[in-house]
Amino acid sequence: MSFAELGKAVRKQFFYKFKLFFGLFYSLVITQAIAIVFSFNGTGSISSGQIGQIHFYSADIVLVFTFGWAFISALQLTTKPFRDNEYLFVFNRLSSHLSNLLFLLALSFIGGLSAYLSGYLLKVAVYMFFDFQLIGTNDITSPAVVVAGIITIVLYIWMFASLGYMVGSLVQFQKVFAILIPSIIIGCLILVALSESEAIIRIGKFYFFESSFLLVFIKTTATVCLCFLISAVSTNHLEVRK
Amino acid sequence: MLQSDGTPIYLQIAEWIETEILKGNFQADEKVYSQYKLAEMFTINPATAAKGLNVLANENILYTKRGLGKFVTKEAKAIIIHKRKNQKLKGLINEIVMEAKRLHVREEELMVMLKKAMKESGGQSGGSDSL
Amino acid sequence: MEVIHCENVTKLQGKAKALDQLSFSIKENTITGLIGRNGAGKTTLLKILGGLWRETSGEVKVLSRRPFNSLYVSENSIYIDDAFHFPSHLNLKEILREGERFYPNWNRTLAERLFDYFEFHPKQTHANLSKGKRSTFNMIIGLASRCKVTLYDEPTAGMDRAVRKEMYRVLLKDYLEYPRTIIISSHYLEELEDLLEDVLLLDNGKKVLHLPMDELKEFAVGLTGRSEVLLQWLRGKTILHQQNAGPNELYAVVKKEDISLPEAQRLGMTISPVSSSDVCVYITDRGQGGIDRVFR
Repeated sequence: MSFAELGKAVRKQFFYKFKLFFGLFYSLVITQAIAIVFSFNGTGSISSGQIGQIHFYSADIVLVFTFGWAFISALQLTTKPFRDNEYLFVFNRLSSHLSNLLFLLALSFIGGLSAYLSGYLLKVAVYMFFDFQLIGTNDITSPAVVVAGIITIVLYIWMFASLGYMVGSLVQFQKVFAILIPSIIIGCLILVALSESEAIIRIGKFYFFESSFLLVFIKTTATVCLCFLISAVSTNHLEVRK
Repeated sequence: MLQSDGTPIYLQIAEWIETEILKGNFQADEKVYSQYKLAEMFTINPATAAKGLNVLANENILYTKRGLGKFVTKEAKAIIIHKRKNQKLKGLINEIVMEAKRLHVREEELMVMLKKAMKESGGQSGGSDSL
Repeated sequence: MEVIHCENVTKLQGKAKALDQLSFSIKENTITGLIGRNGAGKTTLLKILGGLWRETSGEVKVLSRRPFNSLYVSENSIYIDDAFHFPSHLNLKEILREGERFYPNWNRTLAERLFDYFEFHPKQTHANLSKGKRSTFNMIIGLASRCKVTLYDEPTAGMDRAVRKEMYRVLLKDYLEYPRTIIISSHYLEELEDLLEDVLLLDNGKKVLHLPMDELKEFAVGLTGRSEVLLQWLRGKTILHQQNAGPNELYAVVKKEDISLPEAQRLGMTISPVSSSDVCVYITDRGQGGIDRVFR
């Protein structure tokens, strides 16, 4: 198998997947629309006697929802009905994983871009539907910062997608993971809620309190690669069209 | 066109070509159909058709020109007639005799039946093929 | 040249052996019929050859490569069955277009002509087709892809007889025009046998026979005669199948090479040919007597 052969197959599969999994874009639109509605409540507010009340509006909820959407969409890709559609024409496991990796990146890009833009949509909506005075926070931003911001969002979404992909692949590999992984996630959440577990909060800080763009880039792509490596190894013996 | 009476297909193909030769549809030194043409005609595997052609080649009814195909030999007609007389006709007659014995039909009676059949099919010269 | 080569291939499914030490090889540009009863291992074998499933042990070579995880084999082979899951939201024309994008030897003219001939509608979806129509469509994919190795698993399931006959003819004509290695499994051996060059007969995951179709047709003969005479004469020989053919009359199927036909004739037995599909059934019979044992 040469790289040219592999590249050709990956490219074909990539475009095929766009047609195949077009439904994921609908679910993106719905997810983000719901998130925007939730955002109308504001993410926080301060009351002050002199100037009344200040509501903070941001697209954070949209982002969180998009992360969830990416995770679940990627997980779906690994399930049997999706795989049966995927393994129809020319493929092997490696080309399939690589094209999924790229497809999820494309998906994240669209999700990230629309999440970013939904911040503006939110401002417009709030301005139109509520009788508020808008106070911009970061109106003057250079294009470079905007681009870096969008790329960062895309990278985070991609990371969540690859996590979902890894979870899905592990479940395909061993059904035990279907019970194990949700228990671990819920367990972690409980730990955070009850005792503010240091380790988990540190993981959160490691990823989300990083101010250097370069480090964000390195951390997320490294995580993505790790997730795909685990997925590829765990499904390398997977039989299709059973 | 082919029968499913248990006769192997390649023999049926051979017999079909023989009959075509007898009818004069393939003349001496004329090329007969290729295995692919036969396969297409009868919807059979070309290997089977080739086997039928080879049977005829082994009996000197056809000869091979390398790269060109199979051609009818000059003696083809004579060989076929001789063969059919000795094999097919003999076989059929054997069967008739066996059946006649089982039914206790006497020799004279059988001869009468035979002659009658001959007359009905238009005399002795009736060369209609029996395929 | 050998296009397919299997050596001691075993496939475990759970604890059962779907394939059991299977060894055979198939020459280039031949049509082989894969015959066997339900559960004999036909689908398992074809899916392994197509690279969809993985052999448990043994060596499988398709186009000199191990098919599982091989892009080369995937590109040059196609596995067609009636459970082909095409995406539900692509219509038939779109599926054909995808096939064309993926397979290097795809013949668009053939695909479109067959598509029109069998009266498919471009906007139909695969899920809405009837069983026979679905099989027909899948077979069009298999024909048009023109893969070096084409594996058909019960391709005519659900088709009516007229369509089956037409499909056999299409298969043959396209094979004559563009020779390739074809394996076709089917329960309609008698309809299919003229197309086949070789037959591979499986039973319980093992190879029973692998021989040219012509030889299979002459593999066995049926003898009818007086029971005592027949049984006496056949003592020590393998009787593939026997059943009563009247009072004191017995019909027995034996291997042709085991007996002398002139002698049988002399003993007053009636000799009859045995169809290849009957031979396959008799050889893979579960013990003597077959289904009649159930009623004993």
